Amino acid sequence: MAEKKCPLSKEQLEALTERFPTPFHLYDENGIRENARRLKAAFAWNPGFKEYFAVKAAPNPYLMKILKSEGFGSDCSSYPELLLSEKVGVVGENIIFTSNDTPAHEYVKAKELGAIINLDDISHIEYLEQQVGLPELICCRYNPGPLKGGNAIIGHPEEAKYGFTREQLFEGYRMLRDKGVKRFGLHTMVASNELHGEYFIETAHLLFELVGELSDELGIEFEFVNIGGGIGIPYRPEDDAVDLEALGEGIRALYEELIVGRGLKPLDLRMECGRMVTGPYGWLVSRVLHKKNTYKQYVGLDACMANLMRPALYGAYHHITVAGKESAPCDFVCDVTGSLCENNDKFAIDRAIPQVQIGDLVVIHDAGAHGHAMGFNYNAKLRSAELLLRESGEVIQIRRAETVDDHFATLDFDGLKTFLV
Amino acid sequence: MYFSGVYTALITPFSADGAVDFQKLEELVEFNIAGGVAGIVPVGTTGESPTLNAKEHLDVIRVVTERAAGRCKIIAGTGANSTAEAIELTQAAKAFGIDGTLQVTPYYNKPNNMGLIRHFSAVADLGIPVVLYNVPGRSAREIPLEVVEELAKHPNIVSIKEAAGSVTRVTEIKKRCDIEVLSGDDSLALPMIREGALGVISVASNIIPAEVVALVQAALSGDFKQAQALHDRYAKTFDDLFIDTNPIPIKAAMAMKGMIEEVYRLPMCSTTDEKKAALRATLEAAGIL
Repeated sequence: MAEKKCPLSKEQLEALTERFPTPFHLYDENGIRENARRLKAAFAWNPGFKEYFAVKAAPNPYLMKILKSEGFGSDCSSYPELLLSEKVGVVGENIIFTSNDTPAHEYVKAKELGAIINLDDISHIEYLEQQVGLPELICCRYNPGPLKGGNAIIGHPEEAKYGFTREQLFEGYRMLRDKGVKRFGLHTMVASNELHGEYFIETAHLLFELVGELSDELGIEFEFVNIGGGIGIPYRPEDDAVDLEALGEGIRALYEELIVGRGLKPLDLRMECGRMVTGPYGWLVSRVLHKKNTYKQYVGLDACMANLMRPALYGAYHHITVAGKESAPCDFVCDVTGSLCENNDKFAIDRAIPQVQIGDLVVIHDAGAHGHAMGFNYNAKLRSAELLLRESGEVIQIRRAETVDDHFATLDFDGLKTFLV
Repeated sequence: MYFSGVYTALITPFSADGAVDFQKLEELVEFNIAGGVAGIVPVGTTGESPTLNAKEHLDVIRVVTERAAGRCKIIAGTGANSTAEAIELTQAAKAFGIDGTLQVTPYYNKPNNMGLIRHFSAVADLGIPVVLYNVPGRSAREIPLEVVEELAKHPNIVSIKEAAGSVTRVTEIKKRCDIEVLSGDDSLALPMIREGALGVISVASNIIPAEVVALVQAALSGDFKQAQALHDRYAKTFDDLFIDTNPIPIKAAMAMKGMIEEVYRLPMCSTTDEKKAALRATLEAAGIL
C-alpha cells in the first residue's frame, strides 16, 4: 500500500494560491532527499555506486542542484539537458550522455564537458570518431532482445529501437579497443516504471555475466555497469514501492558470485533512475472550474493534459485527492477533465472521488516526474509554474509560469506589417 | 438485452472450520455451467454477503469469474448501504471482468428517494451494467416506481431484480420504465415472465440448475404449458427453500444431496429438525433426492 498524501494542508495550499495561481507543480525537498539517501544506502556495499538522475524526468536546475548535493550525477539525453547539467555544476564523468539518433553537435558538447558517452548503436562508433574523436572512456548500450521479457511502457526489447545486439556488442568493443579506447562501461535499460524488484536483479545478472564474457573474449576491463533506470513508483494506492534494500542486497549477492567470484576487477554499479527520484514527491495542484452532468458526470479543472499528459498518453493512473476532503467518502463517480479540445484530456475516467464543489483544490499525485517535463503548448496552453517546498517549510518558486509573451516570443509580429497577401 | 435466462444466486460454501471453501466453490461453478445457466450471481444474499469480509467478498467474485472464464455471465453482488463502499467493491470487481453488478437497496439506513437515485447512479457511473435489487423484506425500503422510472434513464442501469413478491409491480415497471426485469423468486418466475420479465435470479438452481433453466426457457419461448408443468413439479420445492431464512434451506438441501457441508456463519445457523424433515420429504417427492 502506498500512502497518497500531499505535504501541505488545504489551508496551506489556499494560502499558497494567493501568491501563485493554480495550476502549479509542487515538489517536496525533504521527500526527495530522504528517498535519495535510501537509494544510496541500499547500494552502499558498492563503493563506486552512483545514480545519474535522468534529467528528462524533471529538468529543473533547482531540483538538480538538490540531487547534486546528495551525490547524484546527471543522465542527459540532449544538448539542452547537457547545458542544464553544466549550469548546476554537474560535469565530467558525473554526466552520462545516453541518447539515440544523436546529432553530432550534441556529441561535441558531451565530449567538451567530459561526460561519459553511452553509444546507442555500432554505427555511432565511426560517426563519433569522425565528427568528434573518440574519448578515452566509452560505454555501449546493450539491447538483450528476446532474452529479456519486456515491459509495458518500453515494450519487448526486440521491438525497442535502443541499443546494440549481442553480436554487435562484441564487435563494437573490439573496434573500440583496436581504435585505442582504454576505459569501458556497459549499459542497458530495458524497463520503465517496473515495480518488480526481481526484474532489475535479473538485469544486473545479465550484465555481470556479459562483462565476464566480454572481458574474457576481448581482453578488456570494465569500470562500470549501468543497469539503467526504470524503477517504478506505486501510482495506485494499492501498489507497493520497489523494496530498495532487497534490491540492493539481491544485486550484491550476484556481484559477489559473478564478479568477485570470477576474480574480475571491481566494478562500479551505476543507475539512471528518474521517475523514482522525483515522481512521488511532486503534485499537480489545480482548481475545480466547472461541473457538468450530461451522459456522464464531469469535473473540469484549470489544469489540462498540457500540465500532465501521462493519463491521456498512456492511460496512466494518477491518484487524485481533494484538499480538505482527504477523509471524505469517495462516493462521486466522474471523469476529471482539462480544457484541451481533445477528448482524451482526462486525468481520470469513471473515478470515485469525494463530492466536489466548484472552487475546490484538487491534488493530482505522483506528478513529480514526467509531469511538467512532458508539458506542451498545444491549444496555446501556457506551461505552469514549479514550486518547491523547502525543508524549512518555506515555499519558493523554482520556475515561473509562462506568459503569453513567452509563448509568442518566436513570432515576429512586426513582420506582419510588410507581409503582403 | 443484457440479462436473460437463469442466474444462480450462488451459495458460498464453507468448510467445517468456517473458512470459504474455494475448491468447492469452483465445483459449484462447474455444476451450474453444466446445468446450462445463463449466469451466476456470486455474493448476493444467498452467498451470505453480510458475513464475508471485504477480502473474502472480492476473492469469491474473482474465483467464480475466473472459473467461469466467459462460459456464463457474472453479475457480482457488490451492493452496500454505504455508497462509497458499494463503489469501492464495484470498482474492485470490475477489474475481474464481470458482466454486471447486483445493487441491493441500501438496507437499514432507509434512504429517501433522492438518496436512492444518487446512490444507484453513482455506482452506475462506474460504467458497469447495474441490476437494481428491490427486496423490501430485507432492506426495509422499496424502490418506488417513480425512482425506478428515473433510474432507468441511466445508460448503465439495465435491469431490476424484483423480490417484492408482487407480479403487478412487474406489470407496472414494464408499462412505465425502459428497463429489463428479473424475477427474484423462483416461485414467481413464471408469472413474472408472462408480464415481461426476462428470467430469474434463482436460489433453486443451486441444486437443480437444468430444471430451472428448462422452466425459464419454456416460458421465454412462449411454451407456457410446458413451463407450467415444470413449475407445478417444483412449486413445493421453491416454497420449501424458504421454510427458513434463505440460504439456510438451500444449504441444507445441498448438504442432503452431498454437494456441500452444511456450514453457516453466525448469526445464520441450521434450521430445526422438523423443518429439515419437511424439506427432505419435499425434495424426495420432487425426485431431487
